[in-house]
Amino acid sequence: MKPASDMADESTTLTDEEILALVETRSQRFQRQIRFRDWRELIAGGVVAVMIAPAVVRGPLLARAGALIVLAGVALVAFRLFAARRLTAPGGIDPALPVANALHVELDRVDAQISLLSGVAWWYVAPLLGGSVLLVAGAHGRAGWPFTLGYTAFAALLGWGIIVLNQRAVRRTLQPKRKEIMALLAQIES
Amino acid sequence: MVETKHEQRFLALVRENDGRLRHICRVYARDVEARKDLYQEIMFQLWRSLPSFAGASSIDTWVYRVALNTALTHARRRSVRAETPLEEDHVEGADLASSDTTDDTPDLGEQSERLYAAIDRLGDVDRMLVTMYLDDRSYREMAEVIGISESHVGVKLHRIRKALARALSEEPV
Repeated sequence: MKPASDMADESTTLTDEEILALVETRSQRFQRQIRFRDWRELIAGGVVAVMIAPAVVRGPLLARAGALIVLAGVALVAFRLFAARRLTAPGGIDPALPVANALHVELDRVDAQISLLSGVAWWYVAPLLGGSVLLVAGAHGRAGWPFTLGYTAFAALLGWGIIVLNQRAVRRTLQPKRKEIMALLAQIES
Repeated sequence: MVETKHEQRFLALVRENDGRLRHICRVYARDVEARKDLYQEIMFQLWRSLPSFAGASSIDTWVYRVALNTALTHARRRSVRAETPLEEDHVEGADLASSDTTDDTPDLGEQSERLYAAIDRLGDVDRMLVTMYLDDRSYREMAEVIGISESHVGVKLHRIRKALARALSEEPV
């Protein structure tokens, strides 16, 4: 049997086995993507929660408040990503919809992604990095202010980088995609 | 090899629509690699969506919807519809006229080549309509696939015919 990647050559008439192998390969890749994505997020959230959770119940008040904010931030990030995933899952749009309807659904998805990435400062950067600054400040006390200052500068730089990267993704990827969908809808409606 | 009912149904669907799917791949993907990729993606989407086909529309309409939605998404992802030299368009357009599944370029007259080159220069949505029109689909089916009214299909096809006539009346480049 030929590898699936060679099967759809225009000059080839595929056998039944080849067709089934082709869709099976795609199905497996699709399932792997979903599994990998689920585990990656679950592990990342779990690791942060396990590391931060002890700080909520012991240590100075400021550090506990910071840890609590970070934990709440992890929950918020998980919620936002979960909500976004429902819209952007690989199989999210039913391909059997009429073309115009499918484009409207895709436009909604793109708008949701733009909204998600545009607001990354408040739902991602602020709680996670802001909370971590409070945690560091509380843990190091007044005596450790130089470290706290250095960490704050690092967190600010990191936060700025995250915001800039997300804005760039909106500008370079999502806005052009939105424009293309709008152009197709205009073609349909004209 | 023992095939399940789903596999049998899927294989029958692919066999019945193979030429149609290949035409769509040729219209929406420029090079061989892009066509192969699109063909596989359409097959996968048909495979994945077939269990949810409830018969609300005809199977042909359903196949067209899945294939064209996939082609549009694919074309946007790969930007395969970049500006192309006229010569390439001629070859691709000529392929569209063939209902067989080989790469042999059919011996079409110059007029036909120019017609199909002109079709290939249409917008994505207009090419959808022309593809279905050449496949003898009714206005109603075209309307159901795209999600517009039958009268709108009629208006669009009228415009497309005029555009094609204009393109054909021009001197060849």
